[in-house]
Amino acid sequence: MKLLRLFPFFLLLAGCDIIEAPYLDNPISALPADEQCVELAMQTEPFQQPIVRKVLVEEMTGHQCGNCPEIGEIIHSLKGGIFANKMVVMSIHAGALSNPKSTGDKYNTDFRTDPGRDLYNALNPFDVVPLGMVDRRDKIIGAGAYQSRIQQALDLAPEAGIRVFNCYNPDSLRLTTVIDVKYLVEGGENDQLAVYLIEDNIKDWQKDYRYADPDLQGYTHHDMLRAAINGTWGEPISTGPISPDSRFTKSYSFTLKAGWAPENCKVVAFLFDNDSKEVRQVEEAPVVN
Amino acid sequence: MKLLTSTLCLGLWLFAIPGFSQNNDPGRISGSFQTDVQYLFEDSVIGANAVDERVLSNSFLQLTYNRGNLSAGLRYEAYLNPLLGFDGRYEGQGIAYRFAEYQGDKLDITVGNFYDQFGNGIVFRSYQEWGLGIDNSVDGIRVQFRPKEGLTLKGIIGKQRKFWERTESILRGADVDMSVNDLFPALKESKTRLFLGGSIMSKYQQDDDLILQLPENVSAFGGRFRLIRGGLSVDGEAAYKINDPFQLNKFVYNPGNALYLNASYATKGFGLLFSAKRIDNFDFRSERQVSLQELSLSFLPPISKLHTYRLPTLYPYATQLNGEVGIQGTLLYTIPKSTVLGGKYGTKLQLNYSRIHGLDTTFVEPNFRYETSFIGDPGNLYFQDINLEINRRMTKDLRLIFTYIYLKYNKDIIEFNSVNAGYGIVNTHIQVLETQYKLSRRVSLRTELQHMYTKQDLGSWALALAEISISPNWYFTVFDEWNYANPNPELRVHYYNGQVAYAFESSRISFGYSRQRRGLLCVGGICREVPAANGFSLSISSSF
Repeated sequence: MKLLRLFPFFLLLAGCDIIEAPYLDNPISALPADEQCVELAMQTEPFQQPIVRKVLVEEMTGHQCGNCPEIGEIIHSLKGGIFANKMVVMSIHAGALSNPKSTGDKYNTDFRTDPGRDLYNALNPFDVVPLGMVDRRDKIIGAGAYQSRIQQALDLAPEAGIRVFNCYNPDSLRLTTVIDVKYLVEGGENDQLAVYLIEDNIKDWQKDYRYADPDLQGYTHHDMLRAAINGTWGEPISTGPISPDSRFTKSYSFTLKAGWAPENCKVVAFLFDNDSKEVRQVEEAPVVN
Repeated sequence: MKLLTSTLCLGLWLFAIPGFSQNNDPGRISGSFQTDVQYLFEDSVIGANAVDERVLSNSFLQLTYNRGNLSAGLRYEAYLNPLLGFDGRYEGQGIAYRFAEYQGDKLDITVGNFYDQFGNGIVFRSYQEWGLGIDNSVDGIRVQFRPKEGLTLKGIIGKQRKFWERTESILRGADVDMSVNDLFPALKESKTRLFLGGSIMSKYQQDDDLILQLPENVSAFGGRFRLIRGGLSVDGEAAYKINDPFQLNKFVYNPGNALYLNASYATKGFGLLFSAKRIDNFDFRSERQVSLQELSLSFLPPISKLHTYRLPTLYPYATQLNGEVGIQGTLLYTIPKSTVLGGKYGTKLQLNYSRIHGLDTTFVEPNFRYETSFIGDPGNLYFQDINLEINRRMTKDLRLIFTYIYLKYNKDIIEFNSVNAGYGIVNTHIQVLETQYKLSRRVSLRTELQHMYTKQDLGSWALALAEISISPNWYFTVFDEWNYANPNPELRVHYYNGQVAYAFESSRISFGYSRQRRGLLCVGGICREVPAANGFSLSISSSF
């Protein structure tokens, strides 16, 4: 049994480093919040390898559009299913069927936004909902074509990588987002970077003609456009020619509105050709990690 | 690679020295071989992609040489390129595992790669699961000492395998295992048997993070017992880990802990099993920057029944390492033969219930430390399984097994580790009827009819399977899995599978076609995501 006394020796072999607060190393915490976020972003690896193509699906919809939920559910199931982590969805409430009602107790919430209105007017000249767009290349009115169109878009070689890095202060509702873009191919002279804020899981009224009583209370609206962080059409990514392997870092600050659920909000950033409006790459990241 | 080869050559050369062994025994070589090959097509309906290589394969050959007290071995592996769903970092080929070992009466010494575990594996388990693409062998030194009967001391030091490299971190560990009855002569004849054990596992990884203060030495401690008397068995293990902030626990600084308790009682025709567990922040990995099942040190066994029928495996439970509380109970009863209910041959019943829920965490230091109660949040359900199996031999040649399963599956947590994924809890009712029929002395037929009803997620499924075995060589299996009530009519597709296998001596060759749905593949509660696939497969395995 003397040998048992040797066992504590083995315990000494293994050390324990117990860390007490504060847990942050100091230098960055002294900086203003926005600069801290940029510093934090710079110190993490921005791009997961290999860089893969992702697809932006925009859905023009409205809470009084009874044909819209079917399309929305298809898109949502594709995003959570076979295209998980490969697609980003932005649901734009615009057009006459998104108008809020000023009487009664249904459809009183106004989900419209200024950038949503501008995008709708520019990209939906026929004024029809539901309307889907895949990377702004294809416009889809029916329900059947989403999977194949998304797959076609995913089959294209990636042209750039995007990383979205967010810092959020719950006291001030202040969001700082740092966007990194790395080109894999030559960039276009009209390339723009657009950054939006979307909110998921909003419960409110929605008309759905698949039901005998089409007015659904507490319907879950997914990935709804809330705001354009750097303007409806974003801003040019560069003023000069863009060669492969070029890297750009942009940062923006934005204050969330009271009533939005930060834990459900995401920042969507995408790179697109401002002439054709076609999207070259897209990424999203939650506001609260 | 040169290092690996030279180490192996040195080991083999030692064995070749005359007189190194205890007699003239020339030794013995044993081994095993397996190759799995896929030929894949594109199938846009189910989202299966073709691959550029068309053909993918995972293969290995393991050779072990034994001579007296000594043994040495190696395993060659080739992933050209890795099968669909396996981590791309396995791509390549080479010697992935090699070792030399001395096994004496009191002392065992291993150098090179080894697999091992302390107790139930909560603080340390190094293992390989070929089907999941998991191999976290340790490359280092292991010494095991048995100073007297009933006492075993073990120590290890090394680095873990990381695909074709080793981890940055260094592992150190020790374990003691005691059979109390063997240690104390007065208890030797006691009908009550008691086993005790304790272990410690520690890792060292440099803190190279510029933002956070990270612990460089992290240790986990465990203690365990097992008590057996007659048909009663009670065992438990408790473990504690100091603060270990890393990517998968979202850099929280809470210490981790885990507690497992099992009790079982069995007598003729009757059995009762009960298990309980609580896990709080006990994901223990050898490095901080990891994903999925990579570089795990701890093995936290699942506490729900591991279903083997195919439809229930659509919704398998995967242990939530950041926190969960669960219980499980199983009742086994055999209705005696030659009774009205039991029939001529008797009937076996198995009733099983398990329920697992999350912890209720409240952050007291934002992002870094939380508080939680012991029982967690029973309202935050992760998984619940109620199932009944009736197994009855009807005639000399026919056996029927009926199973009913009711599952509640929190898809948001289990698949997306998020409360906001938007799927919620999937409720499913599953019925399975299995028949086993012996057509002749050599030929037997096994069939399965399965149905799963749910209004959620992918909707309801049905499955029919037939398997013919012609002993001792041939096996034929076909099945069709039909997602007939998918909410998207375009995805109401059949997933056909067919396979033929030929077994001889200790080898087996199988060839098949499958259209495989996307889902989780789980072995022992550890899961990996399997993408949708369509194509042929070939598998050859042999041991000698």
